Amino acid sequence: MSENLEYCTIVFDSLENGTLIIDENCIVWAWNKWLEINTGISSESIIGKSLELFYPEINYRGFQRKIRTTLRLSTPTFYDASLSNRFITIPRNKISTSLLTTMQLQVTISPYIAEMQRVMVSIHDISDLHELKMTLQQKMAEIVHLNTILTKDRKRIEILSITDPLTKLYNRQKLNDVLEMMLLRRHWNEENSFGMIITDVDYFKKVNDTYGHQVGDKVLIAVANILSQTIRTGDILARWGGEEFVVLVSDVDKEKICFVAEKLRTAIEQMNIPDMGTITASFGVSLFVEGDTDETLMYRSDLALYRAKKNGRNRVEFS
Amino acid sequence: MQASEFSDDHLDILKELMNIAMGNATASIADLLQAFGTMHIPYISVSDLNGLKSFIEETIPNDRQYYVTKQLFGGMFGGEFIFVMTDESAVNLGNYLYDISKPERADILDAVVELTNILSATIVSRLTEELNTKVQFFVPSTELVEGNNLIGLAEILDYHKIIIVSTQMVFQTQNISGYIFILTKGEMIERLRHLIDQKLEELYA
Repeated sequence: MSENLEYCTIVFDSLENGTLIIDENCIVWAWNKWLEINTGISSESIIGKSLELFYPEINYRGFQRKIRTTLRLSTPTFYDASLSNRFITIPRNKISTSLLTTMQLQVTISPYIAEMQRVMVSIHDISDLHELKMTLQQKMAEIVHLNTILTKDRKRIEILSITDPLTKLYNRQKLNDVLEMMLLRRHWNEENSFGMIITDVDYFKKVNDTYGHQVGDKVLIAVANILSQTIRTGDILARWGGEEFVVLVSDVDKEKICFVAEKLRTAIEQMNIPDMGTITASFGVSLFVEGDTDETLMYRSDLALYRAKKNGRNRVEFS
Repeated sequence: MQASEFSDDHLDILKELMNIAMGNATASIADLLQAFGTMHIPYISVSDLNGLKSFIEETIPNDRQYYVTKQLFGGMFGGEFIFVMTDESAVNLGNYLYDISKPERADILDAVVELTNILSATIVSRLTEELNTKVQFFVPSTELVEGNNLIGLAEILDYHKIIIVSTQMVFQTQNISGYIFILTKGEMIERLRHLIDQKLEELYA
């Protein structure tokens, strides 16, 4: 019998976790070596005394209720093992990391001797797990933050790659892509006709020479804005280069596209630009015909524009 | 017989046993927490992943925050006990158990774990006792979840055929209520069926 008791004591003191036996009135009946080492409280000094004398900070109403539950139901009860300790506080001496200064404990209260109202409290140090979790959460937050920046940057780069920096309209590259798609779509669906309007600000060189490049830029921005406001939703407007703009117009015939071009011409003509006055623009219009490529369509629009310039400017010509 | 062929007789017996277990739970809570509550008649079904997802979506409104406590139990019969409380109910519970007007997060978490302990121990233990077996409970974990997305995709994928046992618990005076789910899967369904068969034999012997 005494040999068995000796074995039990050896096992009890060899446990790699804190273990204590306590009764419903919180009197300590056993306190193992792990607890002696980690709390600095010897078993001789605590056995037979109330735990409250050593750890007054514990909520004893809750603790005693847990003991009662354990005894009545003959089943283990647990303390919440998240970041706030609800049981005893044990300092942590880990030097390589400083995330936790006290041990994070997982506390289980198990039935021990029900008739004597005693339970066994097992205390496991889960600080390393918590530190790992905290580090992972921190890293995850960093990744999410970096990903947000990356997504924003990617969007910004995408926008920059297809936008003219001065007028914020689509640039020539984007217009070529859209034109290619429209030609392909036209290839699949013959009913889906479209046309191209190319416009050039009249006497733009004179504007630059007379008023300077800053006013010239203002004129280009004003033209871009008025064209944007006048075209239909779904039509594609781009700055082709210099003072030239191109509009791709869907679902039109000759009459409709010339009407659109005339509307744009009038809008520019009626516009008043601060510090400068009014300007005009010439328009070349062409409609997609069977066998057209982007080059032939552009060629005919350019030809029409040339004719508009030659015939006195501030007019629309179709080719 | 496959798990999916869990018969109506098996489900009826399980429902009966759950009624007994829930009676036990309400009595224990009244004794241990001095709170007098009621539990709804349990809903029991054999389902699959989508069924579980839809059931949770139908049962639990999506526009709230919930304290979700999950506790595994194992043995001859095993599974997962899930207890779900609204933020408001959990605060009321923390307030009631710790007698604090404004309980801190730690108080609330501990109160939720405490109630889950009692519920799982009384319901599952009584159920398994009726089935002449014993289970062991593992450390529960609680998290605050936004909406009714209670079970992660990875977890859902881990469950194939599932038995859902669900009920609602209400403590009117304390304004506390919660949803209880007991999930079991795969081989455990087979074992449960076997245990119920033994119980049936015992009853009709």
